[in-house]
Amino acid sequence: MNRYLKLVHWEIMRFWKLLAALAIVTIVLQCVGIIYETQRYTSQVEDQVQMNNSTITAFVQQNGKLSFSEALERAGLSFFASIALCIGGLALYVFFIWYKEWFGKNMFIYRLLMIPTARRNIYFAKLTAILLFVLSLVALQLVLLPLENGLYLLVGGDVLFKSSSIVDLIAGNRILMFLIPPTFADFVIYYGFGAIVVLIAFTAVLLERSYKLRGVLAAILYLPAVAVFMMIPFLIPGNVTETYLYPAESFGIEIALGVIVTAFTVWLGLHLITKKVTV
Amino acid sequence: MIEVKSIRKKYGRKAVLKDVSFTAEKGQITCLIGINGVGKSTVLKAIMGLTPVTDGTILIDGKPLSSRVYEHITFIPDAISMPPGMTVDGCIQFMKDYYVSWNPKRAAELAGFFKLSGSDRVGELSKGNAAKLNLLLGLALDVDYVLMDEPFSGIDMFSREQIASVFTSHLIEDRGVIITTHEINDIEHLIDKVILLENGLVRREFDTETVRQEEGKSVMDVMREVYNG
Amino acid sequence: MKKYWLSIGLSVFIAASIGTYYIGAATRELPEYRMQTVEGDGKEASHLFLEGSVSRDKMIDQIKIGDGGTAYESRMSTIGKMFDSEYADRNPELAGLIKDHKGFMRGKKSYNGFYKDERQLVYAVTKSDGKTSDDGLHRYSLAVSALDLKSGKEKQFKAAMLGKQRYASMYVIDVQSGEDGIKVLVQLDKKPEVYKNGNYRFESELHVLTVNMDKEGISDDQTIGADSGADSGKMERYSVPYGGGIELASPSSYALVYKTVVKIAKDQDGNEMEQQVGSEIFAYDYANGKLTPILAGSGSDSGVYRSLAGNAMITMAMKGNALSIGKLELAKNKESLQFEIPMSLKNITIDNTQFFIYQSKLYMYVHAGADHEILVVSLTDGKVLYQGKATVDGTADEQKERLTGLNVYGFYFAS
Repeated sequence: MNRYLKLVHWEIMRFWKLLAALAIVTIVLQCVGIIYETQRYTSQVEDQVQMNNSTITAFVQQNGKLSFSEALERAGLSFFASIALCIGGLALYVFFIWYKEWFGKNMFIYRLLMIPTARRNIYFAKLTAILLFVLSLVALQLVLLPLENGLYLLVGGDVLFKSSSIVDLIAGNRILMFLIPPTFADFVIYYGFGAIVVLIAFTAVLLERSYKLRGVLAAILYLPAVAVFMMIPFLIPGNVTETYLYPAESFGIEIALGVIVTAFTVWLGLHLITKKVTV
Repeated sequence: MIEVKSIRKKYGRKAVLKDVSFTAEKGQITCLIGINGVGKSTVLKAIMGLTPVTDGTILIDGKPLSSRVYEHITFIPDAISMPPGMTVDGCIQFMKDYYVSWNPKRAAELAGFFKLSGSDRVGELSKGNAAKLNLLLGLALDVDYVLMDEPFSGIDMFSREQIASVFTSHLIEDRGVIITTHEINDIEHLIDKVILLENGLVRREFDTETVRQEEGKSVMDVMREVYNG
Repeated sequence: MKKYWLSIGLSVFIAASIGTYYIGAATRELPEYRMQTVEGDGKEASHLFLEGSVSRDKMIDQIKIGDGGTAYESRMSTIGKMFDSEYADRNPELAGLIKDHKGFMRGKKSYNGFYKDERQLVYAVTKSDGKTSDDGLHRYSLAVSALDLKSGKEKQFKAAMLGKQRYASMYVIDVQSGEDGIKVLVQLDKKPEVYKNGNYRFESELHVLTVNMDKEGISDDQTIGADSGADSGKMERYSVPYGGGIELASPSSYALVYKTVVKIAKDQDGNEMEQQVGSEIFAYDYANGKLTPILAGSGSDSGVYRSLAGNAMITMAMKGNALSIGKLELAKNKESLQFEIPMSLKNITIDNTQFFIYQSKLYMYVHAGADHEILVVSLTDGKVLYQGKATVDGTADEQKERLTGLNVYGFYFAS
């Protein structure tokens, strides 16, 4: 347990600078996007008011104030580009977190594999690290939203703009509701599912590192194999899911299949890193 | 005692090691000799569990390799295996964190002997200093067996002398050492046992002292015999 | 320990940020809507639910208001939502069938096809021949399953339609029982007429098929109504109205059949317009196969709703500001009950209400502006058993805003 935690800490120390960079880019892109949007909206309103020979007060009376939630929808690109960048960066790192150990002549993988600890700790430490990185960016976003709400009002003023409840904002936004699901139970399920996907990627990497070209082939086939396996209830002739099973039963079967896939993926990954990986 | 029994290793279709067997005793320096690419590094990596073997068994003190055994056997690869951004102190701290058998006093002693500065970064070290650090990270562990892969390759002469002097010191004394090299000039006088590898097989396994006394041959003589004859 | 500050700090930050958010999300105060009894016995409404939506900022939140208060969908987990939209939860009769006969009920989704009495539970659904066809027509058959409630034995068979007729579609409207077997009321659509402008019209027929359960086949096919007259510009159409009764599996001796007469006129662009010029209602008696006219009217009968409840037809319409309910016993074609219920809300139209009939009670939801009311009326004696209204917390202004913003689209009796 101790060595596992030390390995997690080690992974964090290796990546924290990049993580901080992603965080800073996120903060800057989002804040700039919000400031820009308030200026843009304000000048649009002023133009319209001038054109119609009206007043801002009348405009607000007719159209209401722009809520933070609506402004984010309008700001669209810059806001969500930051999230896309983080997701892309972390997705790459899921693979890189392993491949970096083989880089250069100074292959750190030697050190890792020779540490007097069960090799599964390396596997789980890398998984834990990835999860921590993902969650830290999610946590950052949760802290940013209320701060950005404040910034929004600070920069735009409260004549044309109003606040939003963060919970409702997230629920009404296509991308945020996916990253931050409505209940904590959902959160565990979504990110648990994400962890399984990461584990499948890990196993693919280890297949390649253990069997080279044949491993790549196996890795490429693994994902469709998992997909087919998960779809077994739907592939059984007779359309069983429609004509025989109750929804709760189909759901239970899918959960069981998912558990099997997870268990097998983890077992395979551990087996590879303990016995098959080649330096 | 390290026992290597009939190990076989294939890379794809090609069998690098066909049937390799030998033993290495504690308190002796065993040298694996062979041309480049014959599989010397592979043998060491196989003993360390860094490469799985297709066939055969490897026992260390009668037991197969497990993660606990890494407190009793260490491997010094031919290049330093620490990230280039790490400092010498950082490397030492790393070893201290993970190995119970790490001996900080000996580490300090070796750092002084090799004149390595704690704040130097791994990526900035000269080849000679990098090799010395590598050696430090292996020898400062209180392990029974030390495996070294080409400890002298590409190192300047003075560093080589320094490294060679380590072999005669208390740092190596009671341990079992297996080194690979294709140049034996610097340490021929130190080697206790020689294993000649060719084409994936052990061509000859012999005790240097015995051969010198009984046949009057040096290690180089035997090598010429085996490889040319 | 000090050198681990980054990792520990990161973990604490994650836990604190995400934890605070979810605790806040779960505990924040949202408007709590309730159904409050104005008059009558609150127990009559204890199983009733209003299903609707409210909007906050940019998002629309689905809510359910019932005996226990308000449930917001935004607070439900994804799995909870998955199991929440089961049709069986909104129909107590269906829920009971699934509970009592879980094996038999597997995979049977067409609720119209059930029939249950003390002896048997029957399910009939239509099946096409499944072959691809150039003209879109197929041969149809009935897939029948039956469970003998006394012996527990099940049987299944396929009964082919008599004759060689092919149809564009066929579906089951009702299943009942007669002396000579199970009676299945089906609607068949004949080949669609496709017009030059791409529009098309189906001509339908209503048939009652008699299924002989011992011989496992269709022994009789009675056409009780067939659309006609499309070419002559005046068309007769037959249909079975969907009423408000939710006990579709319960036995009934009758079916209501609507006949509407429409005039088809083409305007200068060649577009067709239909105008209803007459309508008639018939009661079909499953026992003797006779179609008896009940009511004849001219013009449209919008604003009038008719339902079959047991062996009676219930008619509902607004008369001024009162709801007028009539009950006609089909066996005697005689009105047995007629009463009016004054509404406290103004400007109600039947089209804007939700209602259903269950166990001889009429359940109604009416709405105008910020007022949402529920009524439970006994169809045996016409008495109002319960009257209630939706309330919400907050200041008077907030209440008005919240109730006006409440958009109810579903009203049901939970099992």
